[in-house]
Amino acid sequence: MIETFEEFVKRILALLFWFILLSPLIIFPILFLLVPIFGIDVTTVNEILTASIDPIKALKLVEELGLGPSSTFFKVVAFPGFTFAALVATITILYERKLIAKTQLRVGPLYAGRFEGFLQPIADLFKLLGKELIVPEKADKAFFWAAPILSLALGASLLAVIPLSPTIYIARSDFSLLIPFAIIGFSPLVVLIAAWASSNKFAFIGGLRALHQLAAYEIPMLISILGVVVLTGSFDLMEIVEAQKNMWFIIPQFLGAIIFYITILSELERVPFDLPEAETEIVSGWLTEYTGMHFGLLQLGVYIKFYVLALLFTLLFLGGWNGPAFLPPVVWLLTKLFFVISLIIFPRAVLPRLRLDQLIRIGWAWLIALSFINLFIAVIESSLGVI
Amino acid sequence: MNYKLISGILGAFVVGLRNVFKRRMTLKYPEEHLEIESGYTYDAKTETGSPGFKGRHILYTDKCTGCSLCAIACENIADCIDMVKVEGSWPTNPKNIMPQIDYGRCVFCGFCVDACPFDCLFMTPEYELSATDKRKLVHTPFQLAVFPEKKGNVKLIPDDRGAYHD
Repeated sequence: MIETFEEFVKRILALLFWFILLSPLIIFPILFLLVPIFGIDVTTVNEILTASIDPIKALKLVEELGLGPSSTFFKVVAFPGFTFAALVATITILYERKLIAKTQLRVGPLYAGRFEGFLQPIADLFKLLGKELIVPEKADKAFFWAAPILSLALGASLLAVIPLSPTIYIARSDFSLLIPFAIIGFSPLVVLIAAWASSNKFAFIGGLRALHQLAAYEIPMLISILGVVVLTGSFDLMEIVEAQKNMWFIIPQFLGAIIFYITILSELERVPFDLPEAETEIVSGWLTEYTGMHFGLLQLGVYIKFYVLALLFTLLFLGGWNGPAFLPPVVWLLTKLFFVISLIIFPRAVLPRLRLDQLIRIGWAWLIALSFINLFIAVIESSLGVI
Repeated sequence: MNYKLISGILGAFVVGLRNVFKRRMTLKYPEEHLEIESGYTYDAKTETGSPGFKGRHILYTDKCTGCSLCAIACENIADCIDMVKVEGSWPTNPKNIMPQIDYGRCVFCGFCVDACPFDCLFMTPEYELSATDKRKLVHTPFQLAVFPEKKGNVKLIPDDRGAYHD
């Protein structure tokens, strides 16, 4: 009898264990039957089979196939790439729920897993996988299916040029600061596709609001990071981080950091700028019609974007992987990333939502003016030789 | 105006951050029950009620005289007490009638306890009275005579900044 989620996970792991244990009994005879028929060399069959139980041999085999830890494939798929980002995104969702609950004197997820509900993301995944994919009758079906995939693809493509340490990166580019922002510019398009394809008035209002928001925050976001570029004279994230060895850019570029933080909140559609998915006004905004794994993919795309923007804030203003040498650089980066993620999550627990006219006034009247002032400060600082 | 706005935002951040480190007061209900010391009782001689939880009633059948004062007290409030015939012989109860309470109507005001002159009808901390059938909400005198089992496994600890439990 399965009563708790823990028992469910245990049962699935047990089934997997027995499958792995018993499958050779079926696969061995089949393989050795196939050897004479297709004329495969017996030694290669033996090697593959021994590798399946010997991890060192398996690693060697994987490296021979060109999929080892130093290969591009591994980088893109596993460590600095997609899987790692998805893992951080999942942990962020759990951490967000716990932190907001603590702030509001609640307990948050508690029952999945023995300690503070740490298995909740897996439970959510199973829930989303088990749900029906409902496509509205009058929806534009092709675009409705395209939006979740585009959202995830957009989030994943952001990871391409962002380094995690001097040695851990997927690709290096002289314009690695500009490329993520060029890709992020497409995100309102995904929102608009999802909103239009749903053929739902709440979704459509959400999509229009996202477009209005874009006009308010995109310009100050780009100008606020120009200050950093003026100080270092480079668009390369590696060089920007190297330039912060002595002083983090949050000190000379404090105004720029604050503007960038506010525009991150706006870009990620988080409180107090969550107009496109305002739950209390327009159901769930542009996400209204999405169910099951469609919704899961959209959320995953949004949270990978969250991870990337938090990472960019860390690299641009908090000195990236710079830190005392007793810890490896990646650990320093992830520590700072954790702090930035908390900072981005926190307003959702305490602040109310802005109106659209207030948002646009803040964007046009304050943030753009302040970001130009910040650029001016950066020019003065670089001419005085602060860095 | 903008100074006020910014100070308000910062104030909200500080309050939220302070809350993160506060102790939670969340009872995991089906697994945890709060320990409640006693139910509501009323001393007829001194005419004073003692503070306590107003839950299910407890009827001391050996003291009940069948005076039906509790039913009269209930008449214009919830009208949930009926005096019913009971089997057996009761030395204090010549008419053999005792109260039967319909918890589908009871409002747990405790006036029946105040009305009882023989200290035989009190209240207990039992509050899990839900039933799947409406008829099961009517508790007979013998059901009322059984003292509820103690379920409380979590103690409430009062503090100078509020209360918490372990």
